[in-house]
Amino acid sequence: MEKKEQQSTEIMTAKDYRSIFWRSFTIQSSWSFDKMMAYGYMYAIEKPLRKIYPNDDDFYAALKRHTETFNITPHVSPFVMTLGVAMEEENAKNEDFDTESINNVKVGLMGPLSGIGDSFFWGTFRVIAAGIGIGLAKQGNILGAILYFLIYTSIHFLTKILAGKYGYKLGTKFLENASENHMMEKLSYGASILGLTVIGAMIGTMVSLQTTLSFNLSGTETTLQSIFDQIFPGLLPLGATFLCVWLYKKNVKTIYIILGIFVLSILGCMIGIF
Amino acid sequence: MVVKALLVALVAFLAAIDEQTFGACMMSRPLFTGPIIGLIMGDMTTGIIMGASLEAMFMGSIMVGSAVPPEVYASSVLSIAVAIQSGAGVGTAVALALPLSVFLQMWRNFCYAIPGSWAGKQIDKAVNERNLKKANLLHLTVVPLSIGIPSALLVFVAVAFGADTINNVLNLIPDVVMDGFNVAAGVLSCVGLALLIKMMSNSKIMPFLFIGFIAVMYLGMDVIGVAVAGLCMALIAVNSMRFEEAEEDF
Repeated sequence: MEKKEQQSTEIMTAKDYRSIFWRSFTIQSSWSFDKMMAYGYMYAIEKPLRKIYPNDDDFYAALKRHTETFNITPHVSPFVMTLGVAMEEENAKNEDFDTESINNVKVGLMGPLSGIGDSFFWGTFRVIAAGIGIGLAKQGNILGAILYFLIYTSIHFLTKILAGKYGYKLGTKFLENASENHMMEKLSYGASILGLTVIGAMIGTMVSLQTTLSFNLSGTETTLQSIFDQIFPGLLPLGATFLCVWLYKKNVKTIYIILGIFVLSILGCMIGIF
Repeated sequence: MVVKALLVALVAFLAAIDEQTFGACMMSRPLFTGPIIGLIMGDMTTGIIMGASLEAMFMGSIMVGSAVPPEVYASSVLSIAVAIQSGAGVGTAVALALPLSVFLQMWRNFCYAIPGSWAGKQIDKAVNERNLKKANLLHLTVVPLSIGIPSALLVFVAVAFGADTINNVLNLIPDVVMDGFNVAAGVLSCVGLALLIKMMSNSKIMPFLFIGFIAVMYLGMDVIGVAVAGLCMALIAVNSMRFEEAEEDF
């Protein structure tokens, strides 16, 4: 028993890394506009979580923590997953641990890692692999498809494996001294600032809403959008987002918000607003 | 023909759920599905060449952030099958598959919005009931099946009975509905972001959200740049934190 206690400092065994690796492929399996990859993340870390919390009460409480909205480039997702495991592990050991910091750190990492992941995988790497493949396949050579797949997959797998390893290593190393010097409070606060800043940026890049409404202004045709762009670009996406925040604060259910967006979009197209 | 159509539909199904079930492993791209469809339809070389042309054509359309790209997977499977079947060129085949591509893109958005959101609610419920098996099953099946089955069915009908059959039906959907769905797809991500804001908001740190937004809209920074700036602001804020030392007994 004594020995087991000692080993439990390294909760992640090769088997757990493999479990996270394979399960991370389904991270988008229940992608939705509201929760995005939340449940994919939860699904991926179930095995190590169970080890950390043998007790059902703690285990399901931990699972619940990981049902919050989450989104990331799938290829780098294991980094955040094993980092989350490291934080859950610390939470199990340390009574003072602030569980809110887990989600703050996850949200804080979403933007930066996706920024790197998207440009590397979608923008650079896939294009290179496809370029090589297309060159060969144009001449009817089957090697085109095979090379494309091999090049892409080898980098894809390698990234996932390394991301998983380093997420956990970094997490445990950082958290080792976390209980001293108010480290956890600092981490939580810092991560929520980083997270909110990036969410602000994501409203600008992910949400798109423009109006096509135009009217005659002293003889010249002007679009309402061009006026918005001059006064406050992105007023509509920002407004839509905060309308949703407000609706959530009024306890309006997600499904009604989503249906409302569909109905308003279609109505808006009918009368020519969008 | 029916067997061929069934096999093509199976490939279309697997390709359509690649992002969901196989982690966007790229086996769904036309460059890879081309030779397989070629093999099924009995002309591998044409399949490979068609796959290359379609891949080049669709190079730009990928899933980034939450923008939904035009449906590439099932519709390129259909294009390749139609091209081999009828001996038509790439252009004709793509034109024939275009209504399907537009429809499937719309359908995909719908799946992310309604079945996806429904699955999320049910998973939440299952976790509350401590039924992990049910939660996992919901996670793995609802969205992939609701995307995959219609894609496969439509491709099957198109290959077995001719692409015109479904094009005539799909053309019945009014343009206004299609346009409305596209507008909705652009906006819908704000729901997820709103959930995060509601959870994290604390009026003291809300200004950071607006700094991030302004950095993108006014300064034209990308997300990585904003993240680095955000990290710096976070460090400054953390370093100036003050703690009450009262709890510590000396």
